[in-house]
Amino acid sequence: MLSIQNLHAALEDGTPILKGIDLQVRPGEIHAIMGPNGSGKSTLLKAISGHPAYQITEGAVILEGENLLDLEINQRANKGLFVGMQYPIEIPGVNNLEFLRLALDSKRSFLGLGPIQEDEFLKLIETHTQNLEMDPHYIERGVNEGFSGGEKKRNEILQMAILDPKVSCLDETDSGLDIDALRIVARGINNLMTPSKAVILVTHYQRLLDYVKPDFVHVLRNGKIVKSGSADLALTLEKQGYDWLEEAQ
Amino acid sequence: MSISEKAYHQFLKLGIPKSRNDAWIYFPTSKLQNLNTLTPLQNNIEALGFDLGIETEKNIAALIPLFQSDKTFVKTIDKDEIAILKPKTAIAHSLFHIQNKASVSFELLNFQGSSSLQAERLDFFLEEDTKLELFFAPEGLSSELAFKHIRVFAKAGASVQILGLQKSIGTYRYSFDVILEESKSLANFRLLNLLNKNTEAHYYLNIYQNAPDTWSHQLVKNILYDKTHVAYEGAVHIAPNCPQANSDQLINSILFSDESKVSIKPVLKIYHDDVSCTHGNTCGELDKDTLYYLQARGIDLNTSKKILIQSFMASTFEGLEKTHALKQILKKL
Ligand SMILES: Nc1ncnc2c1ncn2[C@@H]1O[C@H](COP(=O)(O)OP(=O)(O)OP(=O)(O)O)[C@@H](O)[C@H]1O
Ligand SMILES: [Mg+2]
Repeated sequence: MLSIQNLHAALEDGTPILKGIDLQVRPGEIHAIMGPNGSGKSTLLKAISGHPAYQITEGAVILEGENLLDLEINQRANKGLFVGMQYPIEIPGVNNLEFLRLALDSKRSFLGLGPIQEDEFLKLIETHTQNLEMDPHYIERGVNEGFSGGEKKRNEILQMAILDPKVSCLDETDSGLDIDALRIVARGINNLMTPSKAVILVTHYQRLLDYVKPDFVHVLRNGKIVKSGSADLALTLEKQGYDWLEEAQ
Repeated sequence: MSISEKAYHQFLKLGIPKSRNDAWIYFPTSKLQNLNTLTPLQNNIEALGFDLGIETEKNIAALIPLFQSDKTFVKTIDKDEIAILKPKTAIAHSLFHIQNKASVSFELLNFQGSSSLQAERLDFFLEEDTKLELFFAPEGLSSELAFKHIRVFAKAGASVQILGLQKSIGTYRYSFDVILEESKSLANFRLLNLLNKNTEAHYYLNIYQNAPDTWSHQLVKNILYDKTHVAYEGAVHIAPNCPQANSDQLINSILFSDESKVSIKPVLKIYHDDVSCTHGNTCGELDKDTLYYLQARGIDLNTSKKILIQSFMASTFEGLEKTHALKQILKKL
């Protein structure tokens, strides 16, 4: 369903960061991407979603037959790509609830549907905030405004749950979460999964993968995937670190 | 000598400001040359026995209205009274005496006169525990050259709040002298400039904190298109022997064209140690990461920009009590 093909991305000044990424994600699959700090994990997710800091110098990102790289950022999202950020942005003065409604209505409009009814929307919010055990007050504040690290991550999962994407890419959603929150967030991810959807988890630790079982684990190093394997690979990495892997050329 | 004659005399003494004059460095002083031809009117300017500070006045914008208007509009607001005032016609000089515990909301308007110069002066004398709320939200074309000068004296416990939403087109200079004479008096200044065309918008603010335990706050936001130029000179003077005086100043600008410009000059004159003063100034475009974040949630670029501009604007008036003035301003946002 998502096919990343020979993706190369560089900074505005031309510095290459991604050096030929290939990744095939089929419906119903969960992929984990691991790798040392600075290896390009966040860049990969930002690049496929259209962050302006990166230019794609080569390759394609196909979602259900369409090259996402030909689309605007919002069109990629509306087609069903979701990226949960490693560092969610604070947007003071923009109300969380209105933001969620606007995001959802944008997707609905893209799908040819009218705006969501007020009561239906509130119901949806209530269901998901309860599932994620979120304090309803967060929803009335500015987007991520003054949220703690863990609260921001939970808010990303709320957005994901409301937007119900086809492919969810979560960038270190587990870091900064306490033990209970990790369980709750993992449940949120598992709830979303259906045989027609897919998830890509970027993480440094096995503990999230204890709750959300990956079908594949990939190791990114210096802008390339240097190893792919089954869930066991994550356990090996946890024990042995990355040094036993060959440095990518 | 009458007030008007004194004002004219001082005006001649000061002369027309040149661009090297410190208080006018950002102003297109070429537009001031016609002021040479001004002559005093026969008039009836009064001051209810208050000192208008003419002999020491350095700002010609404070003097011109005193010899260019026919009379002073004088109003006393009685003790405990609550008043909402909105002038019906252009008045060049107005004087308000606000008695203890009274509360006044006053709207400063732009009047389209036939003359090429519009000069207005307002004097407010605030007694103890009074509240003055001054606001302006003008739109459209102002006269070729417009001056507004506002002078506020605040006694103990008096508060003055000045709220502005500026959308007018033209060349204008608003000057404010706020004198916090006694303790527990405060000044809160919030201004949003939303400007286009060739507008030259100039603000010249002096806050004098002449007593201990006084507070002043300035928050200015600029959204500029086309060839607009905003100049903001905000000076805070904290007198000796004034512990616990606080002041802060923050100016944020977003420029939407390469030809728009902001000039900012913060001045802090502090003659006491135990005071806390901050100032800051940012200038830029809409934040790229925030725009990306909104779009990554499916919101199109234009809507994302609109949302960010809207929140930037609204933050100018954040945390304020929903007074009459604030409601009027938010209506026009
Ligand atoms: N906008 C940018 N400007 C400059 N350098 C960048 C930028 N984005 C990424 N980089 C550089 O590219 C490399 C990859 O960064 P990236 O954030 O993708 O790493 P990561 O794998 O997500 O690391 P971490 O595990 O620490 O989150 C790093 O060396 C980083 O400094
Ligand atoms: Mg990262």
